[in-house]
Amino acid sequence: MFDTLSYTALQQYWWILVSLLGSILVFLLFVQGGQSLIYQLGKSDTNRTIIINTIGSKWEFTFTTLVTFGGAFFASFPLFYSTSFGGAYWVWIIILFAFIIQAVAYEFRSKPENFLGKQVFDAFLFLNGLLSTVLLGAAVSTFFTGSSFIIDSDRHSQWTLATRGLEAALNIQNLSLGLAVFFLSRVLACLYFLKTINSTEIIEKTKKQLIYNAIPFLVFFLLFTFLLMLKDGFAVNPASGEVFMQPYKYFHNLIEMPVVAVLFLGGVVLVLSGIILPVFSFEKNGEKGIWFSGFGTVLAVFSLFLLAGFNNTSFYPSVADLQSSLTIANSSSSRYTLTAMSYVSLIIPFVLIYIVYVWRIINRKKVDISELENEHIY
Amino acid sequence: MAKHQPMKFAAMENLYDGQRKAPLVVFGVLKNNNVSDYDKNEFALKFQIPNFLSSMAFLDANAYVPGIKDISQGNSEYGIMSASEKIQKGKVAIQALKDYNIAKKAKDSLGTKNALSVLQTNYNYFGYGFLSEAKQTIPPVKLTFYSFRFMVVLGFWFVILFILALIFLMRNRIENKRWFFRLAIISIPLAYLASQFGWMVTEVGRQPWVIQDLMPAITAVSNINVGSVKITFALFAIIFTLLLIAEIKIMLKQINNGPKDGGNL
Repeated sequence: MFDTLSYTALQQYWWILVSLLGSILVFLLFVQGGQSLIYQLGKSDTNRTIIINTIGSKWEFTFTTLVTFGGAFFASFPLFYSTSFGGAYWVWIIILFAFIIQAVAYEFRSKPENFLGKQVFDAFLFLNGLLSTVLLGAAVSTFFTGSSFIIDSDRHSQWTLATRGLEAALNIQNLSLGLAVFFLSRVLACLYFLKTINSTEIIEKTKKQLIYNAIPFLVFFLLFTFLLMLKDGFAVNPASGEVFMQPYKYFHNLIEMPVVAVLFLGGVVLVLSGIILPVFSFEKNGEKGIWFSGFGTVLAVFSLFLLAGFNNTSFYPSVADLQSSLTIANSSSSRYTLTAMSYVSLIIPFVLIYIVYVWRIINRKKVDISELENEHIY
Repeated sequence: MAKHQPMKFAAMENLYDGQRKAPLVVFGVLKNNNVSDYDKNEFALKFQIPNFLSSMAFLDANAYVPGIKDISQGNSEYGIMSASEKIQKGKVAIQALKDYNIAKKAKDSLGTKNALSVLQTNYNYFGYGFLSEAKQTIPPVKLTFYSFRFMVVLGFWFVILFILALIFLMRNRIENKRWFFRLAIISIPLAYLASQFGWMVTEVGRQPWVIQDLMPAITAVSNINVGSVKITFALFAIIFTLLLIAEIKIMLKQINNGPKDGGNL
């Protein structure tokens, strides 16, 4: 069935898959949001452990989705992977280390004689929550703002700035998406706690944190969207492959791809509904927020990826040399590889069904103090 | 491996001159050669099984196993092309790819066709074009040779260990054998070592290739300066050492606690 598809159709199929994985990843970053809230929500040792136990049974979902996202990107658009990971080196290395210390922190924090002590492992969790969200958000924003690299005729890439990707954090638009993702992950974590934790003390604090984090999220998200709609974008001439700057490119993309516009606006409305519902009617809707905001996050991020890659747009533009910019057409794997991988991708729905199944089993019961006495403690 | 990565295979065996009825060196000590002497590396001491290498590789005791010298310098008797000839062909292939791209841009269909045909003829040697001399096609022989033997020796040791464990268990006497438990504990890190030796055989032995014959490591490496690599290495070393200490302390604590209910839980 995939053999009959054109090369362009295969590239688009894989861009959609990568976008989908990226958007599910941002939703699952609620784990990171929860980690950055452990000090504010868990003043006592017991409360902190309840919170960490709640997200502790979920951190692997985020982790494996991140790895799958990276793996799918590597396999389908290898020139992006080699350019970005070898070029924006320090950003990716910091993200890598942030995830190394996270995994270990969950396993070691409550074990006796753990050498570094619970405080240090909790600090690792907090650091992961802060760094990975801000940096992943900023990295995705460079899809729209561009990076500084050159690709030669042998397809060898060279980053032109010694800061190796860290320069992205100095751009106001990148920073606003980074912070928007950070605060969004905290909002999602609050909504998740409202659904899964059974402790009045924590729930009262969570309700306050929901509002405290929703406001900066909105500010930074709107700032990012505003800048995105107004900026010149990296357009591609489909006939020659030449990249050029086009005013209001991303606004045009929204208009020219109405389905994406609907997905984006629908996503934003759902995220906002998920926040507003529990704020105004907690008794009735306290547990529903995470589904609205979670699904909305997936839709909004998915459509952002489509804005970056579709409609003759360069998804990884170079500001150092416009013609080095990467598009889904010039950075993908060969037709043979994409076809073979497309068949493998047919198992994705089964993996998703399995994840939902396991998730439901884990969440059958709310987390409270009794779990700390009877079950696995992170 | 003998078929697709003959150089790695020869390096594993320290086989410089190819031969029929090639023996397998079970145990060997290499002479400390001058590094620049890349066409020989003699044994100071060896114990070998005759014909066994040929039999293992090609299921034929009489089969010819090419050596490092044959593969790098060529051997017309067995139809082996020299590395320098492959390098020439590789350079032609790389140039043909460049010509192809230029012709394609200029919409020159005849030029595109010609360049493509030259590229296809020489494509199997593409990676050699990035090398400059024949000796670059030889991996570090000593490291590959010794790593392979250490890995195999450890593999046999584990088999013996498990057979012993099985015998003691069947005779219901394993709990009395303190010396055996000590041996078993000492063998835990050996498993990691064996795994590392295995990686060394496969990754050192495959040099200079990332993709055999098509892409050498020098063209695959990222453009990262030495300083950054050193900092990254130090970061890994520090963090993983701290985590290793934590892990060992946690395990020792649990071992000291011992199993609950006399091990029945």
